[in-house]
Amino acid sequence: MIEIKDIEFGYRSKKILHNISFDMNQGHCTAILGVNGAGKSTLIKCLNRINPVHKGAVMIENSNILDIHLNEMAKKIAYVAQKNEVSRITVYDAILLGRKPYIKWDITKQDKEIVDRVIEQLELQNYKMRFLDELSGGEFQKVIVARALAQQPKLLLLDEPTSALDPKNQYEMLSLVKRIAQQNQISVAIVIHDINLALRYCDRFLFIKDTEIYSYGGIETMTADLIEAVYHMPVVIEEYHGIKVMIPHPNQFLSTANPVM
Amino acid sequence: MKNNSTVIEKQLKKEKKQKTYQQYIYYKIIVIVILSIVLLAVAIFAVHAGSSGISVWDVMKTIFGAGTKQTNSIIFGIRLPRVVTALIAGMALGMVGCVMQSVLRNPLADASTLGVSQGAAFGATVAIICFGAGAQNSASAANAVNISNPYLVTLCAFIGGAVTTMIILGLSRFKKISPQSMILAGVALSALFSGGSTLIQYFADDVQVAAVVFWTFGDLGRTNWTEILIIVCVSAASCIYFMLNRWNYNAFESGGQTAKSLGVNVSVVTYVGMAVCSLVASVVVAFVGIISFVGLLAPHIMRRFIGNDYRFLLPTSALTGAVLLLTADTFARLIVAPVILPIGAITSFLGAPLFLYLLFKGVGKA
Repeated sequence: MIEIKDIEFGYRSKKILHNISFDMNQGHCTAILGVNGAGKSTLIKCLNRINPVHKGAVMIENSNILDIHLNEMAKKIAYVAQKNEVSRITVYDAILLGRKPYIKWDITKQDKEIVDRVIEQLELQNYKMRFLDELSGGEFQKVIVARALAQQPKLLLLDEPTSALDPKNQYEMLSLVKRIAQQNQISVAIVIHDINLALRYCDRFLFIKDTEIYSYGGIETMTADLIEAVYHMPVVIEEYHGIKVMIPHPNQFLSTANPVM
Repeated sequence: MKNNSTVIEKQLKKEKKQKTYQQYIYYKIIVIVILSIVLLAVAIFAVHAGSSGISVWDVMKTIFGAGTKQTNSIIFGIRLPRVVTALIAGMALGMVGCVMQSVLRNPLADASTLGVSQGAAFGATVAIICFGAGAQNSASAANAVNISNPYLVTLCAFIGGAVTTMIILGLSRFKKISPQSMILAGVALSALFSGGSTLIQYFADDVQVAAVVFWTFGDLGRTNWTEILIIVCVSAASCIYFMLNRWNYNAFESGGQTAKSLGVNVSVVTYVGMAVCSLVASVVVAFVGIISFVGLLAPHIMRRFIGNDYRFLLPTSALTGAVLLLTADTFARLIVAPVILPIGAITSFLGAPLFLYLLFKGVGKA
């Protein structure tokens, strides 16, 4: 169980996040949702100290992540940024970088074994010796997730991991994340805009609105009213083959432009 | 079906051909070994080449203690200090360029392009002319300055280099300027320091002006063994520091936020790294003058061969820097012998085209 307690963050007088407290279960994926600028990405950057929080605690295995050495934090929390820089290194080297918090002087046999295991788990064997700048967007994103997994974290933070992917790769990526979260008993927090992807792959749903948590709960909390209240747009939630899907109300966003006669 | 099986066969062949990671590491080690051999060969040639006609065999004999009085005097008194200076300065500049490019995430970064060398040169000029750290010798412009107080020169050069570094770091930290703008800031700072040097020269006498002008050309032949020892000590300590941080520099390749999430204290690694770079560049500039672009060229050449893995990029950049500087210096000595061309000009001829190429290519893709 990961406990986030009373996180508070802001810039000078502007409050961005206030009184953020929630729990995450092992093996569960939590979607962090809200409108643009609500503070979703800011929140996950607070959890791994990229943003310095004013107060609060992130408790993992009885230690407060905000108080421990950065290297120790990196053994417990892994982060996949929204935009990742593409460097001229091989896929293997990129994943090996995930072992950085554990490396004293040089890599050990154990580091290599863990990297090999992650490569196998994510089916990256065929291009492990290719350079990052030779990969497609989907392959690259997989490598970045693989690097995060090589950290053997308890909590995996993903900042819009599907934003640059086509629909097929989006579904493949989140299905992979869910499978790995369950297999390795990792808690995953995903900042995501696509509510349908969240409904399909996430177990818990956290909405941020006006600097605070507006709603947090399981799939049962995902109602049309809630989404309408957060995004100010009428939607319909339907079930298709047992999976909830959100459809914007048919009368919304119709073009009002007059056709040229 | 036939098509499918052909595709699978091709795929299997490709996979068999695929290098293993260990083979890839061996390849990088072989690159280091080849570079070391090339460096040794160039160094022996550099000690051998010259007007006195000492053979390679005599060079080896002299180095191993079986030389004549004449060869001892030529090799230990003139050629070896010059070659050792080129080796150490080249290594130091190669590594400094490599680290600066990493911590500033700027492929155009180098002590000379950021103005650090020019700042250090200004500091050293102040020490030599204003604080009397250089003994003036009016016999010829080539030997116009002998540094009488290397520690004061080093200190003033470091202050000059450190001021430039602080301004560059401040701009990158608080203004989040682009790599190109950072270089423009370096141009502005270089102009500022050149202006300062011009002012000092304006009030100096003829010999002092000749001395400062000649000094800023860059010359590997004016160092004595004490100065070489200072460069060696500073470079060796920095080399250890850089190698200890090689995994941090690897993490920087994924961006600052990812580096932090991998446990790197980004601010400390950046600021300490730049301070060390500034110290090394300043010490080199203090004793041999401004040598441009070696720190830009060496890492870029090696990135082509071994990628951006700093475990190997740091040592290979150092070796390449040494090969480049030694080759350029030997060329400068031999091309219009007995006249020795200024080394700074030769390295600029090599480096400027690469710099322009990187600019045209777009620094983001470099």
